Amino acid sequence: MTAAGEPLIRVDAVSVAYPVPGGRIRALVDVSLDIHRGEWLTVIGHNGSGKSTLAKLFNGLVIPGRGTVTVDGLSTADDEQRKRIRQMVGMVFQDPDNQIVATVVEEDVAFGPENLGLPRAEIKQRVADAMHRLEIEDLRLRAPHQLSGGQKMRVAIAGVLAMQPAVLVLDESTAMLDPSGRAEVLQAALALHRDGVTVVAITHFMNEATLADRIIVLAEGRVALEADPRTLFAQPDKLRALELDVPQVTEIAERLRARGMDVGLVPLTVTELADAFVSMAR
Amino acid sequence: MTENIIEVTDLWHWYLRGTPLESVALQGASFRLAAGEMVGVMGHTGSGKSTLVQHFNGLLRPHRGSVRVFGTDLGDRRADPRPLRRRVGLVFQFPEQQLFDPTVGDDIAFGPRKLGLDHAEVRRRVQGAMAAVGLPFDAFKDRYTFGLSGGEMRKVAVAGVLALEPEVLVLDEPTAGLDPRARRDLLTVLRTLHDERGTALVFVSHNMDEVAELVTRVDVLADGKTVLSGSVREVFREADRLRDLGLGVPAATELAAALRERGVDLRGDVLTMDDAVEAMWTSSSSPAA
Repeated sequence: MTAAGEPLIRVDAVSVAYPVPGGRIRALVDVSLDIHRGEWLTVIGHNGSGKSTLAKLFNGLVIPGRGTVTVDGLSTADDEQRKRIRQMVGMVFQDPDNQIVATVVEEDVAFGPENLGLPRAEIKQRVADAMHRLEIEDLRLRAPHQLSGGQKMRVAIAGVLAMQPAVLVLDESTAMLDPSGRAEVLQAALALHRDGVTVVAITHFMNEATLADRIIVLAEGRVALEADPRTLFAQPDKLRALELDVPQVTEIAERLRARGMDVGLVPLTVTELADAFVSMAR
Repeated sequence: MTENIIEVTDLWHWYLRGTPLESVALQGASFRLAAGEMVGVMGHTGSGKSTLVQHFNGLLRPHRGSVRVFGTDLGDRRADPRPLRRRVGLVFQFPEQQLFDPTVGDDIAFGPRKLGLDHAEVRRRVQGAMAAVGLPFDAFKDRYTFGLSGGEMRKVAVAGVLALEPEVLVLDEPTAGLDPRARRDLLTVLRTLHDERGTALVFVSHNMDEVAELVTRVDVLADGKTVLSGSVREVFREADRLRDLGLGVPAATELAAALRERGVDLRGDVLTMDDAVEAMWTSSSSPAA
């Protein structure tokens, strides 16, 4: 039991290195960060900046060479505690085909809870609940390979949710989806977040990053910037120097401002920019 | 008059044909590409985009309908597709699965070596391709392929096909998983290859903004059929239709629609950020309506 206000995940002075010919590549360098209960944290950073290594720390897929990672007070370095952590931290990756194991949707969602050795009734309840929350009940008896990308990803998330995790980690889970699939998955994640699930999202889509309470920018394995979306995206030059960018609407406003037309805020969505432009024009 | 180098008419393709798991992937798709053209292919997941483009170098053969590439009729079982593979370079989805050599430099050099090029030329091409995707040659040539991040692996796979310098470059979701800078750089590289070398381009993407920025013509697939085809402006005018098809419009187009809804008078089609900035600037500097 942790007292309220204690972070759910604490990464403390962590360094991770991988061997390469003639030396080692430092994937993470002295990274410290806290993830709080109920928050939506987004991690951005260029390819190779250490994002996925960071995500793999959270459930002990990577054990740091230096520093510690604790989840709800449990250490990922401890074999026994790690088993509990794996149930608390649900990971969803980029390619749903690599995460779906069963030939029927319902069985796939049940796979995790079955492996926990739970009573039959409990498994049924969890599966029903997870499918309800991801709105995939109508796909219950379908074969996963017949589903769209967005549907498959929702099945994968339901499977993770049936483990009743404290935190859902989405590691570029929208990267391969079409626009409606991406919208489906984001809507589902937002709904879970409203219900109190802690979300850690890794993405290369800057407009998705605007959904976060807080954004962390990794560069060369270090935390380079950390801010809420509006503060962060008000610094386009810093982001571009880190090989990142701002959402398109933010850039449009920035380019208008450079011509002397100031819409009066750093817009993050189409609606914000449209409203600001209209009230400025009046 | 320009001749089409790829011409697909009423193409049908089934997976696991003749088994209980048979499913139809293409049912009447059409496509054409003229020399030096840049064409986008869009469609929801499972619409048949990847199946279609795998016909372009004979990886798949038509089950019904016709596919002609550089004059070769791929419906003819005796036609040898191998010469086409030098002319039509294909970058798959999840291209990191195409990697097999232990080091980055060797992986990218594999194709050019197979073409029988001399050492200096292979090196030139590998360096050029790595620069194109933003992998510094000295820092990356000896790196273990499998120690790379997901995005870096994709860059290596794209570089491997660029190094073949094909006449037609077919890229299936090449920017998925790349960081914003790498996306922008890759689009610049593709535009440069087109402008300077006349490379024709087939760009399969879910990213409406990139399609709007790069290509001149777009085909839209749905359920294995070609359902929309036209200039990029014509296609993105069909916003409702595209949404019904699981797609969307570029952010700039969405913004223009939101502004028009609010009574702002914007001129012309708005597809790119440049278009949006120009249209908004002009609308507000013109006398108030």
